Amino acid sequence: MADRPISQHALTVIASVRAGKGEDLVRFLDASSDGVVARLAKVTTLHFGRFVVFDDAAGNNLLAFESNYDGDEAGHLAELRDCLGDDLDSIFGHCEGYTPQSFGSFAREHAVKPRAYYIAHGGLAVRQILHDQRVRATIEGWLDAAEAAGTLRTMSPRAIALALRQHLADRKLEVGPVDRGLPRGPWAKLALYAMIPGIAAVGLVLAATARLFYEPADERADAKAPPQLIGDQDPAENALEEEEDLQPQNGLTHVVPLKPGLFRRTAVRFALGFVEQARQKLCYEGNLGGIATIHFARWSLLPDGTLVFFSNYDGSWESYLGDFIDKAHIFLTAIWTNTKWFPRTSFLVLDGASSESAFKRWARTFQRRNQVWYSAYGNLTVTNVLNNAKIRELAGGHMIDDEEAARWLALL
Amino acid sequence: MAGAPVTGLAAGGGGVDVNDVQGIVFYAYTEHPYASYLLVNLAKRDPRTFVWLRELAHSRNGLRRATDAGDPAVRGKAEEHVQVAFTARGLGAFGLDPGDLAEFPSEFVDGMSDPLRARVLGDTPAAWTFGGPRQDEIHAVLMLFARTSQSLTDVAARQKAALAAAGGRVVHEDEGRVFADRREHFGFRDGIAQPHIHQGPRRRRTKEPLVPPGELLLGCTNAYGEATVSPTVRGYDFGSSGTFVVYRKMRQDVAAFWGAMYDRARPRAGESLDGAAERLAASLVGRWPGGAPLALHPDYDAASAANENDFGFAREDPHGHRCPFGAHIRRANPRDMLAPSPAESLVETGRHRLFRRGRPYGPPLALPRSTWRVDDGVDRGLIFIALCASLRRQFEFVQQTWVQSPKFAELYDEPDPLMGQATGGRRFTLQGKPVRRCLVDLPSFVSIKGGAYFFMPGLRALAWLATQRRP
Repeated sequence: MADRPISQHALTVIASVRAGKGEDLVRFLDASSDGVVARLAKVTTLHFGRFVVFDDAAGNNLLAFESNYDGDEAGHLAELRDCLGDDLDSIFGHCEGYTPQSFGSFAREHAVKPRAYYIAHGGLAVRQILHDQRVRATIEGWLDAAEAAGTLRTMSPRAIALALRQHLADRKLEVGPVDRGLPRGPWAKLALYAMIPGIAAVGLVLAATARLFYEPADERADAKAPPQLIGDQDPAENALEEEEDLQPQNGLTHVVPLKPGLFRRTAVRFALGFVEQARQKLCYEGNLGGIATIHFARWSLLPDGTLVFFSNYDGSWESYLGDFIDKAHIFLTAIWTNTKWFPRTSFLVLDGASSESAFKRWARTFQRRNQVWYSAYGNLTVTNVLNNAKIRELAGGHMIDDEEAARWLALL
Repeated sequence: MAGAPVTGLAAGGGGVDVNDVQGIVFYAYTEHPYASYLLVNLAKRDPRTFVWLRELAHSRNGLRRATDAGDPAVRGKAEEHVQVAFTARGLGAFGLDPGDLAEFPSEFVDGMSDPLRARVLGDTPAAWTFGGPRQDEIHAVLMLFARTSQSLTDVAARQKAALAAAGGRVVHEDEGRVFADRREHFGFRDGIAQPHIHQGPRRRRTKEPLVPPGELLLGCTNAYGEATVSPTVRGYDFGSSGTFVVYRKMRQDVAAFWGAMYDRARPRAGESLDGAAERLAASLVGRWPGGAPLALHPDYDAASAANENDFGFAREDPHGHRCPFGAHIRRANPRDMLAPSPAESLVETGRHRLFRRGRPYGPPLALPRSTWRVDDGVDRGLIFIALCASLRRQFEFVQQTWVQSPKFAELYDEPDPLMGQATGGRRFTLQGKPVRRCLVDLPSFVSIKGGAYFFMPGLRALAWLATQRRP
């Protein structure tokens, strides 16, 4: 286990695909997806990763590599190079400016910093998450056996807890709290609250400006040339559905151009900046705007004004988008209202993502198929990961009385 | 029928035209306990098919509107009620090609046995006895409801003769019954929590939830405050007054279910084995056989609570010690229990409700329940029929995200205790003190024998469809 807090980071490498090589690259990634996933599984610092090919606003092919990793960038890049070796050369060899064996420097040169990044289980390294799952499985196995033997019924909570602890110790499974390096105490929150008057003032100016000038202009433009959203019978949507729900988690890639002009660029940066600040200060453990099913998500803004969103989430697309609409539509609307064909909004935050069918059609229109998508713990939901961590943490307690023991046993 | 007093019913307005809606949309026809479901194949683009529909759509042949069904004079006297709905291929038999159906949702066009739909639903259509990929195409379902066994036989014979005369045939036939006390074959009172729509003709029982009409009928305002899409076909508003129908035949293995309950029952001091098995079975369902919800009545089957619907899981049972987190009724309708808050949960669940119109098939078993552990070799189960305005957002969502999800309610690996398929040791956790109890290696209790998605048009749309013959 780690001695000092592990922090997770987002790496987004985005490179231009050489002219005419886009289709080759997609074919290559599709054909080698299983092998690449198997080799990504050897990267001990990697939570989620993906390779995806999409177009920028001008229609040029781009390749993106996403990773959510533990520790420092240099170590992660070195591990990627060691585990993926020739794959990286074959894949990035389709990109402009890539020379064999240069993955590390190429990745650093082409890294795009996310404007906003969300982590559901901050400070829990991949190793820790897998360890915590073993701890729970060991406990459940012991309970099942004790259940079958009929020994549980006569035991007190404390007696069960102590027996379980002994069993974990026998298996040499470490338990107890780990330092996750999360923001503590009221100071982080106070820092955010201190920013609120400024945020509110800028937000109001932006919202009023949008309502007065930009939203009416968009409505006129949409009336003249209606948005070309895809229907659910579209083959592109079928291709996306083909690759969804194969396991309890899914990876969403969404790429949409900003509306033209400085105002939209300013407004989207402001909205993303707010989300990022709130995340850093409040940490949002296990919950992004009320949504408890997102492991990692990020928004990156490309220089040409393309907004890229990567998300790794639990459950079906339908339930994920439903959560967007039911729970988080205000701040999602504040971000995406600045992009092409987004459902009509007022004051930047109202309507928009709360328009169920239009929002889902818009989301599908700009969703892109992942050629390679990997998860290190594909069978665990966010709530599973956090509950496992709590089981492991409280297992380190002294179990001084039945009450403490019962609090722990209630997590099982 | 035309003279039925409809003023009070039609006054709902706001998009619901009860004169144009088929009766089953609002009524379960419980006064007509004998039902037959004819799944039929029609002669494609055949002039006789259009004549058949024109005749069928006429009320003298038994096709009932909601206003007929709601009028006590008609409801009480009419010997039988006929309802009809079509698959996408069935609409194709009337010459509607894929372009004509472009505004229909893809899950309806692809059909229930499509591989993607099967993945979402957790089905294996290759094993079905009807409606599967290699079986006869199903074009329509005729639902027949009759007051007596004899009148059911009569109406079924008339409908089959009319169908045969039009070159069509029955590819599968199911029967349905209404049992005393609305029990299904496992012995539980069923269909207690039914939503009703605003502006519907029925007076609801107290405390039944109300949802906007667009959750049931196309073109009406739905739970998002938007009009549910009503497909236009050849320039005609074909979807108006229509709804989608989910039809699934579920075989129930009563012996497996009660066998597992008796095997795993643990009588408390002074409790009989029968009582302990009943208590365990109730914890899988979430209600006692008589209907009382465990969240309110953890200790006994309170007769006064047989129709109880006024409860919340977060409110009454936040730790799942009364009604386990994975219990069937939590999954079918989580009420106030979903994150992040009870109020938000109620809004969310209101966006995924189903209107159930199904019935059991096969003969009921006689008490005592202890004899049910022995398989009598008779096929019995449920004809599950649910209506909704969006198959994807309502039926498929409930099935995928709640009922069949092994991750429901922060659980790890347990699908619905009744409906889940035994793929390698099915678990069910009963939260409790001093620690949870876990049932392991549960077998399957329910298997899907076949099914299809149908669209049930309004009466004007049926009449229009019958005129769409193109030379």
